[in-house]
Amino acid sequence: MTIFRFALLRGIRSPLTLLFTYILPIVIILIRPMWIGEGLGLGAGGFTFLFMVTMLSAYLMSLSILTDKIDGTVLRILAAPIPMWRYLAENLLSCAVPLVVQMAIVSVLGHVLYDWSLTLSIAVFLCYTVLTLASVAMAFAWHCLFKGKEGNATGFSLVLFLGTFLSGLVFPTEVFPGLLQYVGTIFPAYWASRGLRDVLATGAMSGDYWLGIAAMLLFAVAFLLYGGKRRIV
Amino acid sequence: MRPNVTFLLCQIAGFSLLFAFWMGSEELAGFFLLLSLVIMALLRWRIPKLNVTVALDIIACLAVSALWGPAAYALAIPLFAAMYFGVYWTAFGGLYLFFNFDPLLTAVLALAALSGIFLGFWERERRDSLKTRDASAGRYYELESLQSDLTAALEQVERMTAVAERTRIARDIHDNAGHEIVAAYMSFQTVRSMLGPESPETLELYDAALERLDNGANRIREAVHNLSAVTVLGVEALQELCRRFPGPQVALQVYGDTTKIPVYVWTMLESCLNESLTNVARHARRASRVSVDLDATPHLVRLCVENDGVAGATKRPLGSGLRNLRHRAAAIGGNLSVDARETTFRVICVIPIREEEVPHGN
Repeated sequence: MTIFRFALLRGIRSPLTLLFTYILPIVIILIRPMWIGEGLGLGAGGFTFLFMVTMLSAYLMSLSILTDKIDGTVLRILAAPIPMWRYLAENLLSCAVPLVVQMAIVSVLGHVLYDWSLTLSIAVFLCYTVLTLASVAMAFAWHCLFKGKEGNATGFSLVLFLGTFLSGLVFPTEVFPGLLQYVGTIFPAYWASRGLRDVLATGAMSGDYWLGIAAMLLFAVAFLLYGGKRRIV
Repeated sequence: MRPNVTFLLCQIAGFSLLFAFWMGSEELAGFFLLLSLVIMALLRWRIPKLNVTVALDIIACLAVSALWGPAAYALAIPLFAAMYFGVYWTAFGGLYLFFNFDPLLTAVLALAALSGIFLGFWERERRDSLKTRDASAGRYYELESLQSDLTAALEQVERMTAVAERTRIARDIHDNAGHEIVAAYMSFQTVRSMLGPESPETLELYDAALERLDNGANRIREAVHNLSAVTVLGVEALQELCRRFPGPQVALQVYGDTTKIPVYVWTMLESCLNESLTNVARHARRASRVSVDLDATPHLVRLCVENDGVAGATKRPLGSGLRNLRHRAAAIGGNLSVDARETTFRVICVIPIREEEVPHGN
């Protein structure tokens, strides 16, 4: 697990990653106005910001793969007897683990501070954990498309913007005209928002919630398959 | 545009159309079917050996068609892929038409299948032509390498022949003319002591002649020294190669009379030993022993290099070095073979010695 440990430390050393991964999720859950009132965290509330933080954090953490590719570090690493899949797996794990831990803390704090029911806390934790996995896989696939950081960052900003608005986190997708109502379905966040809305409406993890989880897992598999095929050397 | 790119674009177009169908109905089964088809397509792209899994896609489409009608049209996507990959038995998906006949659906599936078959044949033909081209290029480079090796070997043989000839001349002068002149000089010195002092002019002339003879003998000695080869030849060259080998100690055993071996054979043996030891250093780092046996008989010479560091090398094809040596051995009527077993690896080179050849090298 040397690569995992090193990637984890590298993430902590970067101020931006430290802010988005380790500080902001806790800060967001502590801002009370984001979690009370109509919609309980959706719209301009905490869940939306958590989604954005998750996406950005997954992007920033997995940026190390692109950095390794650009500066040739990956070539030197692969000169050692380390298979490619292990390098990728440990790197992706180091991106997902801190976020999953943060989501666990957020769920516990939500339960303590805002009287979330146990079902809601578990649903939030599970939903964001799976969303984290899908986001990391998506960011990884995204990095595999580029050879430089400039176009990569610009493109991802656009994807993040579209993903946030079209996936129904800020506004329900019904408010969009025709085709735009469905474009959001190609983002994992759409299914996260759909699942969360269902849990918030019914108070239970019912069919729609589990469909959302399944969709996000399928997206994660698809992105990993795509990213795994692309050459990173 | 290459057929594989066309295939990829057709698949993307298929998925886009299916997405458009789904947007019209909003049936979740349709979305999950689409996502599953994309994942399976990515999986086959990632691991080409799993092409047969296209049958699962067809089954999924048939199953979902019970919940969502357009899934029957989605059959076109896996059917197209199956025909492209050559998994023709998956055409059982077409049985759906027997139970739910629809002219439009029939036309779509037939078009997809025929396009897949056409693209598949095109792609296979392209791969075959690429393989043929690669094989031709491989043969070309191998021949080029062989030509380069043969040229180098020819130059080496020429050089070694010159060295061997100089060595022979030096030995002849030293063993025959040199000894005779020294014997004559000693005889003249003996005669000098027998001559009386009666004729001082005669003695003076005699001493001058002796001195010139001594100078001549010295000149011959120097010439022999200068003619002698610095380069080691024959068995010494093989011993030198074994001595310089950086791996385990090489045990060289020589049997028979090696003076009968001509120079060009020594050159071949030297190259063979050099290549074999290089291979041991590169591929048999775990070798604990390397033995070299040289058998010289009046009619042939056999060199065997054996090591115990290459296990399970039986299925490996010969490298270009050994292949070139095999060609060189064949060019002089010999043979080079490789005997790879579970625990040992042997390179055996057998070269005939023709009667009319004059032995030189040793």
